[in-house]
Amino acid sequence: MIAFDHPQWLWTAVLALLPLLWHGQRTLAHGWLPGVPHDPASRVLAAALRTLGALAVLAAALALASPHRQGEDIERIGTGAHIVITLDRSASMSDGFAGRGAQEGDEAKGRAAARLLEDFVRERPRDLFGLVSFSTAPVHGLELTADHDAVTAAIRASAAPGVGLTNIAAGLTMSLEQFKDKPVTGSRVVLLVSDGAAQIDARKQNQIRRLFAENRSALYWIFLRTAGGRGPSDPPDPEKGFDPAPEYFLNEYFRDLGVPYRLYEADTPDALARAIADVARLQNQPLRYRETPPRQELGGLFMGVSFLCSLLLLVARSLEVPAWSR
Amino acid sequence: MTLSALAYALRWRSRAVTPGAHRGTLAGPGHDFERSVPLGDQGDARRLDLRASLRDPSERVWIRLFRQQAQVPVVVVVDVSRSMDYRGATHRHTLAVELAEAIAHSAWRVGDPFALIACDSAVRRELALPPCRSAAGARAAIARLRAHVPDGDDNSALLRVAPQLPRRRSLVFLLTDAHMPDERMSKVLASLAHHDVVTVVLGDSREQRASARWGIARLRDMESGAERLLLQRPALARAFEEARNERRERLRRIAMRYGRPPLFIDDRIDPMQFNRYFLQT
Repeated sequence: MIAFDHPQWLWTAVLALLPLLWHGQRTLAHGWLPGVPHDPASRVLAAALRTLGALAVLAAALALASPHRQGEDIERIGTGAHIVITLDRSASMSDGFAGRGAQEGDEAKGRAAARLLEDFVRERPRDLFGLVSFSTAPVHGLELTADHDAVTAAIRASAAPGVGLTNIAAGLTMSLEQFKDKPVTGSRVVLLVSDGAAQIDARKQNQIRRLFAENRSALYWIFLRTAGGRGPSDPPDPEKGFDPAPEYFLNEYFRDLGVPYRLYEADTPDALARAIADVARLQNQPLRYRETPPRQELGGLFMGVSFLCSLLLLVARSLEVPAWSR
Repeated sequence: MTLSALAYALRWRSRAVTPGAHRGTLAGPGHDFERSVPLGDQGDARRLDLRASLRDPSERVWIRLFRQQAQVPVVVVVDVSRSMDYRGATHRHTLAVELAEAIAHSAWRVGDPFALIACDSAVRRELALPPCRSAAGARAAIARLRAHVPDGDDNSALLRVAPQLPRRRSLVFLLTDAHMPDERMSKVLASLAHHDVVTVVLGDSREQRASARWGIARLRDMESGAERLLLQRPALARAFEEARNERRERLRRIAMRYGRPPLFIDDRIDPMQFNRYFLQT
């Protein structure tokens, strides 16, 4: 549909009637027109010249009103996912995994995660990656980018031993902020890699819920279990007295978010690798989305039409003969 | 050859009493032999028909009877509608005036009375000249006509010219550009059928032809004011030529129904053509 920035100029379109009323051509006297042979080509030309005149004025009037077209939303199918890796950098990430046979000298969780994530990034060249690491406070690592060298470098850098606590709410908020004002050209994923959880207060819960809904992002939580620690799937045991079991309640909260959500509990580097492979498989599904095309300026087009008509009229003008039959 | 060399010869007999230059119906001095009669109470003994007298077994004297030459009124009916003001290869009105002048001169030379009637959508009385043999009268009327600028919207008054003409059969020159519908042309000629009408069609080679060069021209009808845009090109030039020939053929057929073909005069008066016309028709 065509819209106008300055519709008041459309009134000048009335002037397009003038060429229909006045031809503005030189007239040559002739004794008796009924004796002039009928010539269909001439009649077509006469009508065409008048139409050209009207069209020139009309197109100019439309061009003055600066027309533009706001296109229909177009449905597209995207394949590249937007993945924000949200990496826990709390002190515990330097510890080993909780799996059986864990011993001294095993790879630290943070390091293993970084290594596997690097592979993950390398295998998905069409995706955009962002990186947010968090401990007590979130650190903005990388904006969503297609520069995979930068992404791997950022992941490698976050493998350094971390400090502080696990403030998941702040990390998630910052991760979701990354999607803000970006076109949805692929599925969005927040890949949360952490080894612990924390309580999220009600206000933050609402904020995160809202951000997830706004940005239509999926959430994958890869939980790296610490030796002797509890997992999100272990319900609190009332017989043990006070047990906050933050992992369990966080998992329950995530399930309740209303967005695609999966939890992967990884006890060993192999389990982590499997979890990451699973995420990769899930995110290979194409995504249908609607895109609003940018507005299309039509002023130049109308100006061109007007110019072309005027040019043709000029040619016709130059063809006018000064005297009949000479 | 000048315009004063225009001459018109007629094939019919004038019933006029007044002696003139054309064949008449009345007996009298002349050289138009009618018959021979025995010399009696009529005739002139000087016109002895020797051969008939000798051949007569009863030996009467025969004399020849002749018809006297009679005059024929010449009336020029000139169309002064606005289309006569057309200026193409020549100014059509001027051409008409020149022709009228030449005819007036010829009429005066042979002693025929000359009358002029001009009309557009009305019969223009101020330009009219009743039949007269005065050279001065004719000159004055021609001068008035020359000074007149054609401004009539059409030539419909040609239909009302007949009552203005002499009652006797006259030679009528109808000077017009024939820019009127065929029916009107036909009606005009029918209304003048009593007379010997020479339809002089004053054509203009530029008006009735189109240039073969490409161009755009918007023509305006001088009388109705109607306009028509034309794409000038070889095909249009051919169409013009065709239309012109067809129109002339139609005019010829109409005029022939009333006795004479039209005399087409284009751009200039050719006395040879004029005189040949009278010898051929």
